[in-house]
Amino acid sequence: MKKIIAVIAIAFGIAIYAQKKAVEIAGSDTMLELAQALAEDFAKETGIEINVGGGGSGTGIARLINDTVDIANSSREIKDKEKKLAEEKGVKIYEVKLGIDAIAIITNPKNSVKNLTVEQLAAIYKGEVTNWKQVGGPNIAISLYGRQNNSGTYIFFREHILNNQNYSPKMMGMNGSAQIVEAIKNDKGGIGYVGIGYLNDVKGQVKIVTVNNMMPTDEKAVLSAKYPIARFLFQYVSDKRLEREEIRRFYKFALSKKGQDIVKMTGFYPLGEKKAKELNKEVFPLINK
Amino acid sequence: MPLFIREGQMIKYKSTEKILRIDKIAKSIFTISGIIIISILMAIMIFLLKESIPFFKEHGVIDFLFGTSWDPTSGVEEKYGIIPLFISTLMVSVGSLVISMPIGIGAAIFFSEYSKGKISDFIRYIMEILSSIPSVVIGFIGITLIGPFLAELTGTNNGFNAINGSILVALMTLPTIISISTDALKDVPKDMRDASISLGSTKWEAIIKIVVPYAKRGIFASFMLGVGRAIGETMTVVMATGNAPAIPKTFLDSVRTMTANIAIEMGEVPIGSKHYHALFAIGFVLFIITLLVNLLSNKITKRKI
Repeated sequence: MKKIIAVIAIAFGIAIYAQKKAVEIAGSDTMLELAQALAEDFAKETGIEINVGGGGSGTGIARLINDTVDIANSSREIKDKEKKLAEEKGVKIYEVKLGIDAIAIITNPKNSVKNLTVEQLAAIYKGEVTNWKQVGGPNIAISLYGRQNNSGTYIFFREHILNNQNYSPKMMGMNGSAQIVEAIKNDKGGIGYVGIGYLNDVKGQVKIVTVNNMMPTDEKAVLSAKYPIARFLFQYVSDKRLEREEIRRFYKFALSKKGQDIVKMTGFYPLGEKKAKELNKEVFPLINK
Repeated sequence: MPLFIREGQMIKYKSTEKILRIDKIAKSIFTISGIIIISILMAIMIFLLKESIPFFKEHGVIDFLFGTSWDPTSGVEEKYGIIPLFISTLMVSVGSLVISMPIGIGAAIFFSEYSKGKISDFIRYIMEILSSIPSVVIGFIGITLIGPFLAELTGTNNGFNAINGSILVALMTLPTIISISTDALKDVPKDMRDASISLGSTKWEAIIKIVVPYAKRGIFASFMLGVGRAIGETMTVVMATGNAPAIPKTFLDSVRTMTANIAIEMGEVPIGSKHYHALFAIGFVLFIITLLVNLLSNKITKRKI
């Protein structure tokens, strides 16, 4: 009996010890796959465990401010409100740019519309245009799919396409990009916005609409800003958490060629080692301490 | 009092003392349990109130209760009106009851009056399984099966709407309603049915005019449990009703219930912000609604004697 208790106690101890060493990342749904891929390869190389969760960019940043997570994935920039709240709580937040994401506008394959201008896209998402025939398509009512207000993609789209105007209140709030893709597969009037990382396995089941006649899968168009809906993928980390060696090593890895290759593999546009250093001037010296 | 007193045994007074002491201890244990429950309930109410008051102070109760737009993260103007959420909850709850009450009573009558033996037991067993299916799975069924079916049936683009939510919630509350109503009907003394039939009524008349009214209170209690479950259901509606914040105009529109809204937004709010307290305010409203429903049902069951 005593032996069994001893074994269980040791097992618990190891589990707790291992947990303490594990790094926790949470936040952007768009970046989930990317963070998981980075975590996997990082663990293979260094044996350091990383747990990656979702919840939306807003959730990740809120947790970072509440000091319940090591790193927050975010597909949008941190808001001034959030920065202020962090300051009030005595948390200094550092921003790391990992890669670039293009947001694809998807519709159902039965929809004949091939291209939308940014103005048309804005009108649709503000609820001013409610039928596909108003933009040259079939006579079908538009079903608006979007994310929830905890999503970085939601905020980014509203800032850059709607110019901070309100979304139509009829826009449905889906609980993740995958849910948007699934819904549009079955809805002939559907339109949605998702990061291109979510379109790796959906050939033919949803249709990617060009915006201003540019495809989000066109690297040149995205990097030259000709494709109008592209954004940085951020990670936010606090000064306190950066003191952990595991986290500094993680960033060395993520911003190296190996890490950037993983960014490319999961469907995003990598910054490349050189640009990664350039764009992350503030954090680089801290990482390489 | 002991049954046999042996000659010379002075046990009479001792055992009375002991019995009285055991009685007192039992009473204290049960009283303490009662007090714990009441304290927990009070604590929950106070906690909800405490976290909602900062919002009411900052924003005002009227605009919250009668505002027609919920958009706390707007870049234009933050709105904290609960009406769209309230109407959504109302639609899904009432919709689900419209489905589950008739089917519930019908099935209960079937189990109690018409079906006997193994088949009846088997069906009831299936029902128990239905009631233990987690709400996420029901939500999943709503998205993959019921949604597309509804879309085909009604000619809408998709099935993310109030009807879908009502059907799913009805699925979850039916087992409870059927189970409790069946027990209530079975409790009706056999004599009542026999008397009615002996006076010349048909079996059907006996059931509708005698048995069911006699079991009124139990059946009504089952409805109240159904209402409570319907109002509080969260996961299923988050998955299958679309969560659009507009005031729904028909049952074919997407809805965003109060519970769904809290679940969706609670994860992202910074603790202590206005939005955070606003979500607690919604929680407080839900608490009050549940309280009122319970008070109302108590009043009604007391009157129906």
